[in-house]
Amino acid sequence: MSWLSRSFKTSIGQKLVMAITGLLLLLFLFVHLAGNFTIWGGEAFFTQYVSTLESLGNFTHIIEVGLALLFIVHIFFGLRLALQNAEKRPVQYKVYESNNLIDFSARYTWQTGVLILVFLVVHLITFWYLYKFGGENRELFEIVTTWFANPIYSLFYVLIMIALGVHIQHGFQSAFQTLGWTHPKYTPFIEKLGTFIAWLLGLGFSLIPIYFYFSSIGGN
Amino acid sequence: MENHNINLTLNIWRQENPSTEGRFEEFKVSTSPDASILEMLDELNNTLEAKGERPIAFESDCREGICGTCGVVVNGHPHGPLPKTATCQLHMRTFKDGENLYIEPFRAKAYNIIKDLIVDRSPLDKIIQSGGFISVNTGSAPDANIHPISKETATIAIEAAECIGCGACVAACKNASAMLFVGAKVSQFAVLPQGQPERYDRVQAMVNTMDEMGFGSCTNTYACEAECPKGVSVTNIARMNRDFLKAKITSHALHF
Repeated sequence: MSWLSRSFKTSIGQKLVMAITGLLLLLFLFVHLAGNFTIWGGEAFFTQYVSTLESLGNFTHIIEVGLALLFIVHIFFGLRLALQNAEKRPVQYKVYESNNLIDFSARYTWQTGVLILVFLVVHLITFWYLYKFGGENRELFEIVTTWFANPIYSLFYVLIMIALGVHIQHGFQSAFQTLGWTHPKYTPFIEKLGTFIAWLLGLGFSLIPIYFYFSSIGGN
Repeated sequence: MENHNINLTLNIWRQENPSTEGRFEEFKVSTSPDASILEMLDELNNTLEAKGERPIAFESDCREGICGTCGVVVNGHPHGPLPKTATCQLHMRTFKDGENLYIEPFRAKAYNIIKDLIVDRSPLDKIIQSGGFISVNTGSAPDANIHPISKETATIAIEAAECIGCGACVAACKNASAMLFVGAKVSQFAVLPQGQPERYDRVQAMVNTMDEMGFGSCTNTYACEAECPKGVSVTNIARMNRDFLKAKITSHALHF
């Protein structure tokens, strides 16, 4: 299988890993957003959703491990590629304009990725860890609404969700390009779909902190 | 004749040889707006030589925009700010009187500076040597139309073959990636019947050499396409990615 390990070390091999893990993570984000939206059904409905997930037991744990692996591989390969690429021009240009010709989202892919990584750590500590291992036996709904009453915390969430939108705006069409899935008939559609998904996920995830922050300062 | 000359301040990269440190040197020139940037440099070199100073080293050959020899970065753009224009076709009328110009060599880890604005682009040749060819039998010339090829396919191949190998894609890319060049050189054969026998070995060999030569990887920003003097499309990179993936999945050649 040495051909396989050699293949994953090539530039295109590493990019294929980014594309495939990226698209799978996107699938997860859809499931996550759908789960989040049960909160619009009220506290009881949301709590029921949470307990349904927990009642699945080992199935949920297997999904969690798979998800963690996806994140780790995507982050590891992404950072490694960024570091490898950073040394490919040891002497920089005095004037460098080529990068200004490209789409805004394409300019900051690894930077938005690092922001999302920081968020991921904060997100896991403040929700997942606190809920599962916090030892206070609080309902997740209460943890969510308490955190989002904090304006700095909510603003941090919204800003990161904008970064996520920018990351996906570039990443979605980029994944298809890397997989070689381009065609004059489909590529314009893929680009529009990527923009739609970027807005959908960015806005969708932002709505919850915005709603709970404003309902916390405006009574009910 | 009336003098319509424009005055420019040039900041040009000077470097004695690959191992010395380079620096920018400033020159004030008055030049005709009808001169190309290379002709303007020729004039400047004449003045320098007359004064007994070392002329600025730069490369050029055809000066018709088809050979890919010339190539410098002008004000942050490989081949200058005009789209789809090689350095030799860039005329001074593009610039305003009194403007400051920064003229630099193509910069990449894979391109060593030989002198001033001349860089060693032989890593691109190494990539071609590793697979950018087709095998043909010797003997009498085959019939020209022995392989029927559709107009659409011929157009794809010819648009890829428009790549003049100047290496500006590498100079434009933030990762100094050569994937537009390699993508074009893979594509021009991959879509044609003559390119089929070596198709999947070719793409793997060329990608491996590209990596060995110290080029970066593609992050799909498409700065290369925007700066390419021939407007070679990034769909060629996608075709290379597709063939590379297909080769990895189906090719029997285990040594790649």
